Amino acid sequence: MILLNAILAFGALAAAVPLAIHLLNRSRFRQVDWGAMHLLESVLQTNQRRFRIDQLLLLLVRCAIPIILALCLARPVLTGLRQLRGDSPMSLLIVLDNSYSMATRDENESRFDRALKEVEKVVGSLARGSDVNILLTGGVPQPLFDQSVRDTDTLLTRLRGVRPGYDRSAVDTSLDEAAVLVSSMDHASREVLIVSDFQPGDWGQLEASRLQTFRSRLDLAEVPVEVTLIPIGSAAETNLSVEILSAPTRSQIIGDRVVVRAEIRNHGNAAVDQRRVQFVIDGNLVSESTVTVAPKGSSQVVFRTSFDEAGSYLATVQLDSGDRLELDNTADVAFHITDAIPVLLVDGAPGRRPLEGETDYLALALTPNTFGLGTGRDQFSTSTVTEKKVSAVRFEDYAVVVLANVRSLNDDVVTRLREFVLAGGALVVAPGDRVNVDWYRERLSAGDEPLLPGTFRKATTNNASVRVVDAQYRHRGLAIFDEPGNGRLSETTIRQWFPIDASEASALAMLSSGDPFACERMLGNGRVLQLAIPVDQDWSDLPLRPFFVPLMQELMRALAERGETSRNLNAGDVAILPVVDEASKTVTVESPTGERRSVEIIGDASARTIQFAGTYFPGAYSMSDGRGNKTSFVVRARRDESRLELLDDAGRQLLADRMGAISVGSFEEFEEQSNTRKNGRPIWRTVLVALLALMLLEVYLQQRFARSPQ
Amino acid sequence: MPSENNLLTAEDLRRYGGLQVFARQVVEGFFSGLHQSPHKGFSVEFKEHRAYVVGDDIRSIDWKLFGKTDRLYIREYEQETNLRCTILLDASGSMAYRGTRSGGLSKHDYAVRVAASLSYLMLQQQDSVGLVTFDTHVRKFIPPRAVARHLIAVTDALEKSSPGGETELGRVFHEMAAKVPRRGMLIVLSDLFADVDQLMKAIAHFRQNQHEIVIFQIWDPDELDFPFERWTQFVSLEEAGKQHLADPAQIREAYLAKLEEFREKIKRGCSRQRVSLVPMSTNQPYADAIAAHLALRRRSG
Repeated sequence: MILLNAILAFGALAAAVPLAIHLLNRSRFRQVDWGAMHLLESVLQTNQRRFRIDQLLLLLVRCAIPIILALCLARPVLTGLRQLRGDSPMSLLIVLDNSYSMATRDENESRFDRALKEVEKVVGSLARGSDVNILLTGGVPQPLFDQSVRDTDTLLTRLRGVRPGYDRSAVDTSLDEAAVLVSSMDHASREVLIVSDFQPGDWGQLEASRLQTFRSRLDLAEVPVEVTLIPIGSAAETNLSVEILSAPTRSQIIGDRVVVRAEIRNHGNAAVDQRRVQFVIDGNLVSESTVTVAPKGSSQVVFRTSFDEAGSYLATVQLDSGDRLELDNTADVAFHITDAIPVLLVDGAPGRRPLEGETDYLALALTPNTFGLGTGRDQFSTSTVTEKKVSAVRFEDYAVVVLANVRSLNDDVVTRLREFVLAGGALVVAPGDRVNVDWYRERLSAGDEPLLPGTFRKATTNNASVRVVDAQYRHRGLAIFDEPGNGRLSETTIRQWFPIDASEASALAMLSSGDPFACERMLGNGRVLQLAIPVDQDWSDLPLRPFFVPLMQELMRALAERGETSRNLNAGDVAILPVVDEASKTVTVESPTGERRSVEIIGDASARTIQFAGTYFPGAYSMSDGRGNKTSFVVRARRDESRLELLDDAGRQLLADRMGAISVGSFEEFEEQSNTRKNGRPIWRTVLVALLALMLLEVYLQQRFARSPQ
Repeated sequence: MPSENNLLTAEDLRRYGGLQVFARQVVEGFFSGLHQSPHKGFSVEFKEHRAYVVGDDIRSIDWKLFGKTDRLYIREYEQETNLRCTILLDASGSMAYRGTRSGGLSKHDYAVRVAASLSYLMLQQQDSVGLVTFDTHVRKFIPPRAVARHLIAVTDALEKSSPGGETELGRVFHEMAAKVPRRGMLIVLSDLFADVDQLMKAIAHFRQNQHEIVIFQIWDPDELDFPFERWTQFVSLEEAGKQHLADPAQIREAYLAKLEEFREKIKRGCSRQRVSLVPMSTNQPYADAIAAHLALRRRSG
């Protein structure tokens, strides 16, 4: 036990006063010559022992009163065996859940708003000199500051700018991060507060060993660290959420039909009827529908649209739900609509009649509508040149260059081709009977960074046919063969081919002869696809296969994507976006929270991009260049936290037990325990009650032992 | 020592005349109504007129009748039967107690004044009065006489009496029972701080001789309510060296209970012996004693 006002404990010496008074009274007695001694003696003889006990008892009570009073004034505090923190500074790490479930409204405020208020109080009550940091757990765990700070005003100002709505709490990595942050804090007294709604989906899945590891890491620190779990919020029995199930993941061509499939999920126990779902593109309502969802069930809604102009578009599926969590009632998806992909076909052996040239079948496959084979707009636009005129072409005007049965090229063209690929362009090399294998070997397949992925050997001359080996093709260009209805690439009969010496890793598919059907490599920002056969029917019946058209289109499209990531990312992914503006040095990226950041453009004139890593908050982002061009991209939000159940007290206690922490029911309870840990358990009230009891006892004994004269 | 035949010096007059004067003042004051008696219902009845003769008290002259008749007559009252009364005055040490509310008088002083007043009264009524002072034994015995000048002897003895020694009421009463054989009235002025059983036996001895006994039990108010607050050393007035240090607040209740028990025992004993017990406190008017005596006197006869 310690005494907060120890100096006042010396008042206990006043216990000597009643004793002194007693002794003084006994010594300063009055003398009376008494006649009725027989009465007095009779009384004294009968009650002498009792009188002594009564006097002693009363004296003890009277001596105890000043002792107890002094103890009460000295503010005793029970401490057990611990050294108390008192008002000395401490280090505090607050692990604050800012995932989207914390945006759930409880009464008039969200869980996060409530958490903010309480955290502010806690921070405000810290002793001067304490250092604090806050680790936000939503999505990708981020500390508010790289190092803990002592300027609580600055910390609170920054904290007030934080919003809930991040992806689900990354509990596992948050604990790791917390252990690291705590280890670098300043003071000997350290505490970790974990403030969260403690959803079973986030916290209940943690294995005991994981939690014990966290505790072990804290115990490795040179000082003990106390951990407290503080729950926020109440469970919600009903909630609806929207999630994009499927949407185009890569650029779409003008006129393409864009299909967005969304899932409406009912996390509650009651059915919901006729809820309106709207499909909005760039703020404009395009279409709407209604859904009925069974309890704990889901319904899908499909929206279809197409775009007439190239550009970046943001589509949102909005659910009219009215539940306590609004953030999961919308889902965004970004589209990039482009004009037809320009493809340059270099025909090494043009024909005089249709389909006699090396690239005729390919041109037909890429632009069927242009040739009147269909309606609508072609996704590709093709330009065909001969081998002799290729030197006059600007490769940077195209996304893909196809060399079909080109014998050889001059050095300048080769150099420009290399630059074209390095800058992000795609090159397809389809051999034929005119190919100068030695030239290809020496000029395109040699060196440390050859242009081609492999080296052509002499074409086979025997008449044995081969087929493409059936396999689970990894290349996106061959993804069409994942659908059984699209046929099998192995149906192609290949009569003649060029064996290619290349690594197995670069092969898209293999022939039954053991040679690659096609090889690919990345070079800089671009790609090179080397085929073993021509793209006409000279050596195979590939162009005659029904899948030739979609195969060529998918291959070209796959090659044309210049290494950019999808416009629809996961939280934490780096967004790599091309920048059209050639003059600006920076772009501005605006996040869903309204934060605007300037990002530097990297790359040269042929390929300018930005890399934006601040994709922590799910939602729609916007990149603007100096010319006002806007590009939308979306960070997807998972809906793991839309089921708004919370861990009960027993669950939280189990969690706490496993990580050697304390689980409290509220901030008020934490404050009380914190005061106890800080100052011990004050018992002055108990002592005060004891004092009052003693005083009453003294009065009672006094009255009992003495009576007023009648 | 003065006698009725010696010339009284001024000092004698001052000294011996003081108690007599006091006694006369008390008695006459009682009759004149100055001293209110709590004994209601008492009156001295008028008997008859007789012609005035020289020597009669001129205060007894009925002036109203003189106005009517031009002759001097004195009023005569109901004459009580001539009584032989012996006053037994306790002069033991316990009677020396002097409290703070008794006007500086000890119980003995008070008893002396009561004895003097009663003596005066009785002599005025032509009763015989005697006196016995005692502690553990009889100190002084003045046999009863009815002459007025006997008052001097009585008051002289009273004046000289001083309290001290222990109490042996029972033995003294037995002794006096032998000395006062003739039937009469015994007036005891004492605090009765003695063995009650022995005392009652002695009283029974007196009663065998058919004495009428009146006991004026003299108390000091302190003895009745034990008002002490501070620690007090109680020193015995009778036994030398006997003292007790006590916290009065602590023993008060027990003392009062013991006191009540003592008084009750005496009361029961006196009732059984058909002895009149008149508790008196030293802060009580002397007229109360006069009234009590007269009431008892009238009742007896």
